[in-house]
Amino acid sequence: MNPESPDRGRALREFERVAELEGEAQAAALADLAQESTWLAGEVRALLAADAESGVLDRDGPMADVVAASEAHAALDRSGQTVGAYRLLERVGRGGMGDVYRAERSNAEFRQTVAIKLLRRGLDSADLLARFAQERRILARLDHPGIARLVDGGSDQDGTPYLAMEFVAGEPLTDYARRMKSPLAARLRMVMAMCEAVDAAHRQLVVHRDLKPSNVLVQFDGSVKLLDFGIAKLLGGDDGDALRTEAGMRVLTPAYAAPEQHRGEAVGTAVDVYALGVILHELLTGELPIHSGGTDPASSSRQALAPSEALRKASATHTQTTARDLAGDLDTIVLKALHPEPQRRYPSALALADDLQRFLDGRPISARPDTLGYRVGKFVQRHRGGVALGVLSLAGIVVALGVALWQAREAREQAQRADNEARRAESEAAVARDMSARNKRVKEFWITVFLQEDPLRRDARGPLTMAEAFEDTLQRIDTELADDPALQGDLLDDFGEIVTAKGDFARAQSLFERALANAEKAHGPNDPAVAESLVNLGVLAGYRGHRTESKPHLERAVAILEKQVPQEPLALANAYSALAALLRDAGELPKAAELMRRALTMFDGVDPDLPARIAALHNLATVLLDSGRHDEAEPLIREAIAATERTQGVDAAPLVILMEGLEQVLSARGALDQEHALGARRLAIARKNFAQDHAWTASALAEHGWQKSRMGNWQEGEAMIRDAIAMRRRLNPAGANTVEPLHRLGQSQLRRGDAVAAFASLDEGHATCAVNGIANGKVCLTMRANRAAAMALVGRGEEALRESEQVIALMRERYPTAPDELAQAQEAQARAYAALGRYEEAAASQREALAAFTAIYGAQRSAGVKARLDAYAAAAARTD
Amino acid sequence: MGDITEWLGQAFSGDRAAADRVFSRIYQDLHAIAARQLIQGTPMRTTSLVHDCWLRLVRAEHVEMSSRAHFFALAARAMRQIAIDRLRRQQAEKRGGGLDITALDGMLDVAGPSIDDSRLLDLDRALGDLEAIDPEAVRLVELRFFAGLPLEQIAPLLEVSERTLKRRWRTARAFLHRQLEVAAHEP
Repeated sequence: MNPESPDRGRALREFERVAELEGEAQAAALADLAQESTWLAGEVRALLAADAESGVLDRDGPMADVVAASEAHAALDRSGQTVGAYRLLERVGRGGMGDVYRAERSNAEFRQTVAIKLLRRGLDSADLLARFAQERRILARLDHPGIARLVDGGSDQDGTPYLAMEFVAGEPLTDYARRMKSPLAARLRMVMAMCEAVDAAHRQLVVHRDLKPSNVLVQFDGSVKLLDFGIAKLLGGDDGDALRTEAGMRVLTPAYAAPEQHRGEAVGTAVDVYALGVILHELLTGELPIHSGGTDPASSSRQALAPSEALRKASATHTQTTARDLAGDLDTIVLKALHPEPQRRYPSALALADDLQRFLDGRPISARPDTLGYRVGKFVQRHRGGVALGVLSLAGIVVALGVALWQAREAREQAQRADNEARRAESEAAVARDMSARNKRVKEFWITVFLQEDPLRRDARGPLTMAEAFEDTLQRIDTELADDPALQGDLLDDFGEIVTAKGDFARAQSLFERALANAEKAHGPNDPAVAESLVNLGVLAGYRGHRTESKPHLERAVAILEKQVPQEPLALANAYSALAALLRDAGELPKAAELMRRALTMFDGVDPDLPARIAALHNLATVLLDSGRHDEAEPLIREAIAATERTQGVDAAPLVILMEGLEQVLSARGALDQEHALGARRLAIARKNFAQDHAWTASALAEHGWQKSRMGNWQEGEAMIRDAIAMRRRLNPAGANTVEPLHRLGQSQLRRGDAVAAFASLDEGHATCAVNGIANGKVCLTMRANRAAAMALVGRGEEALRESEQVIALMRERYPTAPDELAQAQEAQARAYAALGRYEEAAASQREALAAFTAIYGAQRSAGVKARLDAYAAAAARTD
Repeated sequence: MGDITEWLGQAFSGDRAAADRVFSRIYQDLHAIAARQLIQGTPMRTTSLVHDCWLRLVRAEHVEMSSRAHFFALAARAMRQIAIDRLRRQQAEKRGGGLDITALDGMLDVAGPSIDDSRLLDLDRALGDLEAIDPEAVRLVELRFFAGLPLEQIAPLLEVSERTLKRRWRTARAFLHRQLEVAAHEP
């Protein structure tokens, strides 16, 4: 039966009808219903059964007891009587040993409202009298705006003692926060105000010992007042405690009392810090802390669950906060305040307030997550490298295995250490055992990969190749880890990265999508693990040329990770780097450069050979290249290449991407011979690393083809470029990745004068750009310029002129420092003028282009451009 | 504090902020009246709480019936909220019992609840289920069970006959008791 079934309303209506019937009529009606739906009839029958039973709703409502209880206590009310100089107006509070009245002192000059705490008659034992005296002594010491002040004290006519205190009209802290729906920051500030008042008491050597929401009132102006020092203790004095022990009473409020209070040990200021922690927890989650590691509240191994976890477990939330708000620093702060061992809590209430202030300011807090758990937790969050943006480690599987084994060893050592200090840190050991169990599982999972190498244990398949082992493992992730979505998701991400590097984007896509779903399921929507999958998906979409799809993934990842600062700097750097690459493609160079530099500074102090850092270097270099700042880009690219060669060898796959940047530098210098040689090496590396179709092979192929074409060997060159286009299409028919090879083909065709073919190639590329939202990227704009040139050559002069003018304007705006590309647009404009017979203007545009080309490539390589200028000039002279 | 008719009118014309303000005000008043009555020991039925609150709010004789209906709906909801809040506080502070509590507020906590804790929370949840199916039935339960109004006083407020109300109450009661039964068998 589905409780959400929309038919429930119907069932209620049918019940209402059938319930009015009796005997056979009812039976007949039920039979009719059963004809229609057995579910419906069953539902109505169940309601009829419930109807016949008595239940909660037949009794008095929950507020009815207010009446009964009030009658019982009416007799004890002393309202209207006079105590000392005060007239009791009304009873406003009640307790086991006495009542609190709103009272008034009035004489000719002034009227003062106070709260009178009056010991109840008949309860004036020596013990209670001593306690009352103690409270009075303590209150007399305290003078703080956050503490209800002692006004007076004495005994009434019968000798019953009373205390006159500042009258506080307010509401218990937790009620107030709930009713006002106070935002997180306001709740934290209320706790900070409490901390200050408590600290003031501590400085007077007073421990409250019974802090709880009903003792902390929020007044109508939002200020916080601490009440009831009835069981407070003067540190250093032995009076109060001795009395209570004698009387055999243990006075505490269980939910707010620290473990040492439950044990009846001597208590210090740390018990107030503990209670502040409980109240903070309650304000954050709406619930009391949930404890694990022992049900005995006196046990020192009784550990509170992190508030964010508590909130996730809660069936309904009573606060405005979400688990996401709490995870991280607030969890750490609450758990430190709630530490079962007094000496490991905040040393003072003020230290707790300080950390809350730091949290509000967005500064790093002083509390560290509980040491062992912190370290273990950290390496489980581990190497969130993400697909390193064009630089991928094919050693992924080996690295992953290494990490798993290291984790297992580390966890053993941690567990060992924890055992050694078991008595002192039993809770830590519990965490370690959990982690150790998990790591054991990871290890066992991984070692199975290699079992086929074990002649004694392998099955009939015999030794596996690495590729077979990989497939086998990927299968087993599905089947064997289904019960652990977090671990399964992590591994799916890792395998997705490897599959991406192997060039199987469609498969990688499905792995990342599953990893994302798992991460969201296991950790909620805003966890770094979710961000990792999002970065992977975003980068992959970029690789596949689906750039519009990529952006929302990356932006969401950045939003998640920015909240995690500074715990996840490398993951955030990676996300920035990926987003920057995307912005660069869209022509947003300043933004891209800014993000890239931010990302790079995050790698300060890490291993300079870290693949993710090399990727970031490369990405910054590409932004610089687009900006025409080849001299600044070159050293970055060379550093990236050198680091990769050093760590992964001279034929490492990442070089395929890194060398493309260097080709661009050489091209800008006009060093075509060097560029051609580098292109040949790059293509060889690509072919060596990728047996099958691969996006990077296609890229190397297209560029080398374009190099050959420029060297004069256009037949071979264009054949290579066509191969690249075909490969791109096989990899992904719909993506934007055919843009670059189509551009190269068009350029080559234009260069040798086949305008019709060139226009077809460039027009197709142009359309692809527009569909993918990258029309303002540098490649696309340059292609549009060349398309305009081809257009002019096929006789569409007017259109070509408009296009070239637009491109020139866009280039000046977006790529003001890219003279080569601007010159190509100016050439296109010249061709358009020429097509329209406006030779003088054609010559002018061509002259500007020639100047730029000559500056970059020298006069010799610009001879073709010069020849066209001469032709336009001659034509202009003829038409004069 | 402005004209109560206008106030309630705003609250019921979809003005969320106004609705929150009115609710909060009624909640506070009811809470204060209940607390005072408990402490002073004035015998008073739950219904009187709501009426007392109403009188404090209006302080005038001529108020439209629709305002009255609006007010009672809100007050009944506030009573439900007060009962739940009180229970939560009791669970937080009183588990273990035998404590010496002297406080200016929290006096409502001293009285023992008339139905046991888990039942009341289950009922609150069951009302949530009913809200999704028949919100009007929830209003009826709030008025009758939490605010203690007899059906003959509820009928003019909801502008339906007492007979219809009886039928509706029976249906809501059967539904809620059944939900509680199911909840009692859940782990």
